[in-house]
Amino acid sequence: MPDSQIIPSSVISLLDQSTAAAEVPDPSAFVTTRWLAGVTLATGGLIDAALERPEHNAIRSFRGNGQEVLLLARDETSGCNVYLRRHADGAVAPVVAHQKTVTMTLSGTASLEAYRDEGDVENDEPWYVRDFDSESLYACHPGTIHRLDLSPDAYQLVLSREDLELDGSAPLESAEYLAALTAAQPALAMISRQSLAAEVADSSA
Amino acid sequence: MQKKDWIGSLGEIDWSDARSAHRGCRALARFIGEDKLLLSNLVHSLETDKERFARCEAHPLMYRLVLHEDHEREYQVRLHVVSKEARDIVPHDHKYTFSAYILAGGYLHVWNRRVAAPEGDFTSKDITPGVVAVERRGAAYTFRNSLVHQTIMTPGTVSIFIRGPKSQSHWHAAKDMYHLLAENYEVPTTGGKNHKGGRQLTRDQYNEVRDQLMSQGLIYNARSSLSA
Repeated sequence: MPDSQIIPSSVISLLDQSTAAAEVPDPSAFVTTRWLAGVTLATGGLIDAALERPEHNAIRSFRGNGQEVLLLARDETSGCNVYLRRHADGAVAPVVAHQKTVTMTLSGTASLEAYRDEGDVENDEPWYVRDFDSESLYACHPGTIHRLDLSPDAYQLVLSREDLELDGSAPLESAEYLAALTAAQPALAMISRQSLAAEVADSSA
Repeated sequence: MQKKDWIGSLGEIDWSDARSAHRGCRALARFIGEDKLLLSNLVHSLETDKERFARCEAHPLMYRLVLHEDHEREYQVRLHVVSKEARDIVPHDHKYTFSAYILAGGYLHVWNRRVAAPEGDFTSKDITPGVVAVERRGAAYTFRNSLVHQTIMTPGTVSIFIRGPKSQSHWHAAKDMYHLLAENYEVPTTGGKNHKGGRQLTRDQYNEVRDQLMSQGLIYNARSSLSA
């Protein structure tokens, strides 16, 4: 899976951001790059490949806290695990991020609430509240207490250098993994068509 | 929504509840941002509204146009306009809770978690990145006072900024990074002094900002605005 096919290099710089306050990635590439059509198309290819050997990825995929997280591939070029995250039924609660991730929203809306500490969680008092819509991009660093609520039509690509863990989740059986990916295929195909049409329309405007 | 309705909705925002404030501010900012005629009139009317014009600022990193304010309830609706690259690299908090809605351009927005004291003075050693977001057109967020952030903005960034009442006496910035503050950016002070980082907007600067907004297609020119 060549780097250029799925992950824009600017996205990797977000994943590589250090904890030093003076070291912040240059935003110009993020702000101007239209990546949705290309990334969604490439994600479809990853799903096709993952469907051929579900048992390999299913045990590293999981469901819980209102989301299904499906390992699609390991990109050796960038050293990232590539996951597809989508809505799942069930309650959503604040959790602590255990790994650094970069999330690319392909469709739908993800509502994120972040908390300063456990006291804020007990008081149900988020201090940072926001939404991520289609073609939005963000990184979440380890230790961040947050609540992520995905809309039923939400699909996100999640990148991490490590295997993801999510408190309160359970690994998927191969059949569940297959069913989830099969359900995602037509949705992603539609997103790909729509985003490509939007990019063409924008470029000719 | 009529003007009296959106102004009325501002008064109903509970700034102590970020979740509720976000819902209200996001809806309001979208309403203003998507109504080009309303936004045009709010900008052009600054030319004759001396009181509101006097509150507009040329900040070291951006221009701040006051679209509406309520002195009694201490809230303000502003348009933030960035004309050149603006690196607000020194982590800092704010005296008030605010919401932002991006109309054009974009920036990298780093929320830094405080790993020492939850508020007050800090250095860069007392914080670590939490959520790092690319803010592009349509992005909206609400940020409570005392949260620490950095913004690296690209030229042409325009956002609607809705500020709530003051919740702490003064702002704070990473003490070991003061030397990286932008030119003319005053360091935080205590004792109730107003921050002097921004200067009152001049007529020439206003014309420059207005022309930028027109060239970006965010507002009509005065003539079409009045006749629309």
